[in-house]
Amino acid sequence: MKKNFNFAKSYEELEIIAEEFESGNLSLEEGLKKFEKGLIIAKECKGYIENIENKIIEIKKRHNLK
Amino acid sequence: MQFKIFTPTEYAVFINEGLHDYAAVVEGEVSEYRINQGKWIFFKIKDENSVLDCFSTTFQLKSPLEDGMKVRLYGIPKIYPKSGKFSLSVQWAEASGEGSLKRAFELMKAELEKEGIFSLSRKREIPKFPKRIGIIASKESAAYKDFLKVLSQRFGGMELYLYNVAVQGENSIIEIVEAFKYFNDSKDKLNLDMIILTRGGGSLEDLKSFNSKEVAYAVFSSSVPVVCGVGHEQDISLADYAADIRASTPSNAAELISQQRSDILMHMNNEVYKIESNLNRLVMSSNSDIERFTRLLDGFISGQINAFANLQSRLFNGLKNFEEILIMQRSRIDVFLRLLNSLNPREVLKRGYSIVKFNGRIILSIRNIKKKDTVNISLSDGDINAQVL
Repeated sequence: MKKNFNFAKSYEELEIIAEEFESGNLSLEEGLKKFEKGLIIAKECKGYIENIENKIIEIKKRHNLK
Repeated sequence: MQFKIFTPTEYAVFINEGLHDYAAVVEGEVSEYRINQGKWIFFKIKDENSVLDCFSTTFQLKSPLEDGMKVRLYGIPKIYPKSGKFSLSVQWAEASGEGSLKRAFELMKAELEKEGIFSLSRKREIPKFPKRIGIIASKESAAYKDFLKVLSQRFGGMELYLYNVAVQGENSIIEIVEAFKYFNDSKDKLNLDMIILTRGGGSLEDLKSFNSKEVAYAVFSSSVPVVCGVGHEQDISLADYAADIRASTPSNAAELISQQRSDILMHMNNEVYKIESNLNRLVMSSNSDIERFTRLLDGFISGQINAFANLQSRLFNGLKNFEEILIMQRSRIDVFLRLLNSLNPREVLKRGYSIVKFNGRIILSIRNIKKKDTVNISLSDGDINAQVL
């Protein structure tokens, strides 16, 4: 997995590719390229959501309360 | 014994200095509550037997009061030099007892509503896949743990910044306000998508800080969108109303801000399926296009071949005609040749005729010749010269 993988962006990209296919305006050549790209993105996204956990960072308080 | 002599003013100052030590929390019922010039607050606090005058300012008293409300207030006793009147200078006051708390809650809600703090038009949206989230909660609370548990069951890859605060008690309001300030100040550094303010359920007394003007303002003024999730379904705090998104419980807050992994996986599989089936259709339609083109090309080529064959046969027929014409012409030439041959003078000579020439000219009459002339006689196989006798 890439270090700075941007899930939201990749997910959106996948949706755009799906939409492009649905619109029916793709040529076969473009379609094959986008298909390949879509599969790669889907694989990355799946890997991301299946394996990544949330990271918790606790803020150190700056102030001293009474 | 020597007494110190005071002027009334000096004595008032002296007394007030001493009275400072008698500052106290007094609990009683509010009466004759009124605000002058939108700034000065006058009321009395009483029980069955006693009444105390109270004075404060709208700056100090954040929570609205009204007659009959049971309150707890912190006041510094004071004598006003001009009137000599004794009153409590009230630093803070809060409703006490469920009934009064409820009333105070309603009053505050109405006030904030009027100020537009709860206005729906200013509610902001949160991103579908938040990356960085600020959390204001008590680290040990069940609310925080529930929130984390539900969130990590649903989705991952988020950075959660916890600002641990007391969600009730003396310092709660200050800490929560401070937490909002911290997250807003570090907005660019942390790049937060939202702030979650959460705590468990409780009585109005427990939820006091979440119903305070300070926290409601902090939520309202946050430049980062705020999601508020408090307690049980039925607990709605003023912070909830001020938030961009109101969750019914801490777990619900986690649900509202995140996507379920399985939903996303399903959606993604669906998208991939969509892409695949559309690509298949594209390939199939390209195939049928190719077939169509092939058919067209095939038709074109066979048309060309036919046209060529046609041309060839026309050429062949033409040649044949030409040949026939040629043969015919040739036989006609033969006839002419024969005719010509038969007319050839030499052929006539063969039959015994001869041609007589004098000086190269054919002699056609005896008048053109005389004795002793040498003439030339042409026979079929040669010439002879002879002399006329």
